[in-house]
Amino acid sequence: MTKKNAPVGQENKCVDHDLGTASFYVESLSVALDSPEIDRPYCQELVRALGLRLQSASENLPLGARVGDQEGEARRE
Amino acid sequence: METERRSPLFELAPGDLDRGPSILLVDDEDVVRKSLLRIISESPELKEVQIFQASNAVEALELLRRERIHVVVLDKNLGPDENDPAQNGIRLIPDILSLRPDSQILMFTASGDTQDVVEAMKRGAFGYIPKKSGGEGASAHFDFIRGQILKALNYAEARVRGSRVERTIATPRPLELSGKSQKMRQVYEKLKLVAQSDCPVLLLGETGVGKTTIAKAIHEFRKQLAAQRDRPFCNLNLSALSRDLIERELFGNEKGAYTGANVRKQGYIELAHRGTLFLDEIGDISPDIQVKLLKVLDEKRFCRVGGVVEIESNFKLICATNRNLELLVEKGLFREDLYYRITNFAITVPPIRERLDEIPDLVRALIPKICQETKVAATFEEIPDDFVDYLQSSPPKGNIRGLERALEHLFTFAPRDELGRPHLDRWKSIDELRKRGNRRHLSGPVITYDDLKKSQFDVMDENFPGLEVFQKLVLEKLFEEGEKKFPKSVRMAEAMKVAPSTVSLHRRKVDRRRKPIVNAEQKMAEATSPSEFT
Repeated sequence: MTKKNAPVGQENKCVDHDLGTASFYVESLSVALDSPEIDRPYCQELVRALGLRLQSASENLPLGARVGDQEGEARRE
Repeated sequence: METERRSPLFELAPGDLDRGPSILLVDDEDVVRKSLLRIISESPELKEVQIFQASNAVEALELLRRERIHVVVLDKNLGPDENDPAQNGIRLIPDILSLRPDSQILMFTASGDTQDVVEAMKRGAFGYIPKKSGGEGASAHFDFIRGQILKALNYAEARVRGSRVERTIATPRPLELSGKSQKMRQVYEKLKLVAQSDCPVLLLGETGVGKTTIAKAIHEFRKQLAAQRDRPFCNLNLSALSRDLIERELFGNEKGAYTGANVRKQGYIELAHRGTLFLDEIGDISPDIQVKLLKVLDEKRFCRVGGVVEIESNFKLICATNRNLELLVEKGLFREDLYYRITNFAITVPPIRERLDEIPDLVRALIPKICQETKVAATFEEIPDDFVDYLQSSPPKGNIRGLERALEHLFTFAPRDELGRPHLDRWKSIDELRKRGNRRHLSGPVITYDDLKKSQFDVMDENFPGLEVFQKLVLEKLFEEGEKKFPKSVRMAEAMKVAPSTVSLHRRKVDRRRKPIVNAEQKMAEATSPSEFT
């Protein structure tokens, strides 16, 4: 699940949520990679989920942070 | 997965937890649930814990219905739209608690929004686990998560144990509900259902059927459902109060609201916040109070008398009446809108004459209470069968209160042996003797104190005139003898071990009796005698 196209005014909250979840994936990945037997499919799943989260955070960045983003400009208006 | 061995954490309560400790992980992302599963399984203390998983609210509730879950780790966002109740973990909390009041909920949230945490705790969450670490590193963060889950499991286990003890020992089924008839079973089932909703409940039934006890039973159910023991139960009998007093008692008052209002006072509505307000004899309130009450029910807010600030109060309203509310509505004495508001969930408690089969059960349930009050020890087995048959064939007036009075009479008037044990089997003559005693009391004693002294003071004896006459005769004799020895009331009272006022009162009565009777003719003759004019 990603939080794309957050309602105007809710972007910060969504980015915060995405980054919080991403942080949990990073920690999980770090612990999984530290274990003597690495569970490859699990780690791949984490990396995939992490990628989606970061993408979602990027898309939900507050409008001011995306200078020149036409989509963002349109939403702001 | 059935646990074979309990972890040391649960060894203290063998048999208390049905199938070992269990955790439900609710998150819409598989990978998050997998990570949590790994975190939990790495803890030696949580190794034996049974773990269930759900990816959405529906699955979670279904699992909770089926399984006994001790801790729920609940994601705050169960979907992209947090305004959808099915996708908002915080909104799911009351549903979980209504299914499993003993379960402890840990909110698992990636958001650092304090508002969400406060909201979750308000709705009954045990605690919260942030997904984001505070910079202490993955290992420390995961240790914290395990610690929180362990804490919640400990607490849940204690609750399960505590609530079972409470259910089996401290809160037996109330006396008035101890009957096993179909009608009472239906009433009991209805109570459990209406306890789950916040809507007002109306209890109907004759006087003495136990409406107050039933209201308390609903309150107890609600406390169990909410897993909160500190919820108040406020009981107000409206028939005993005047219009102004009802308003002040219900809504409270501000300082200076009326003459004599020296302090601010909280009303019953305010005190009942988050609890239950039981208004007995709701049919007796005036129309203007009815309007105010309706407003409180609709808006959950009110103002104290003389106040302007609105106060929030959310309570379960239970009303009772033995009056015909429909008739009152027709006559315009009861507001129709309030009538519909409170009669949505009406429970009629049947009178005792409609459940005669329950009388033995009720007598059995009443005995401990009556024994305590009459200071007589007895068991149900000692109650004569024919006494119970008699109660069933001619049930006393006043329903359960009437039964209580009948038992009190049996215990009080039964003759005692030398050890003070009552002979309950001679109950039949009690009623007869009481009637005869009362008649004799009205027409004056027919036997003397000496006659009585010679008898065995057996209240079952045909000649016993009744307790009141007996007491009067004994007192008169004592006073008669005491007066000669103690001219002063105080000394006499000391010697007789009674209050001085008792002696004074008796002396006044005796003096009145000794005073020569002067009739109207004599008075007239005295008034018109010539000596008056000399």
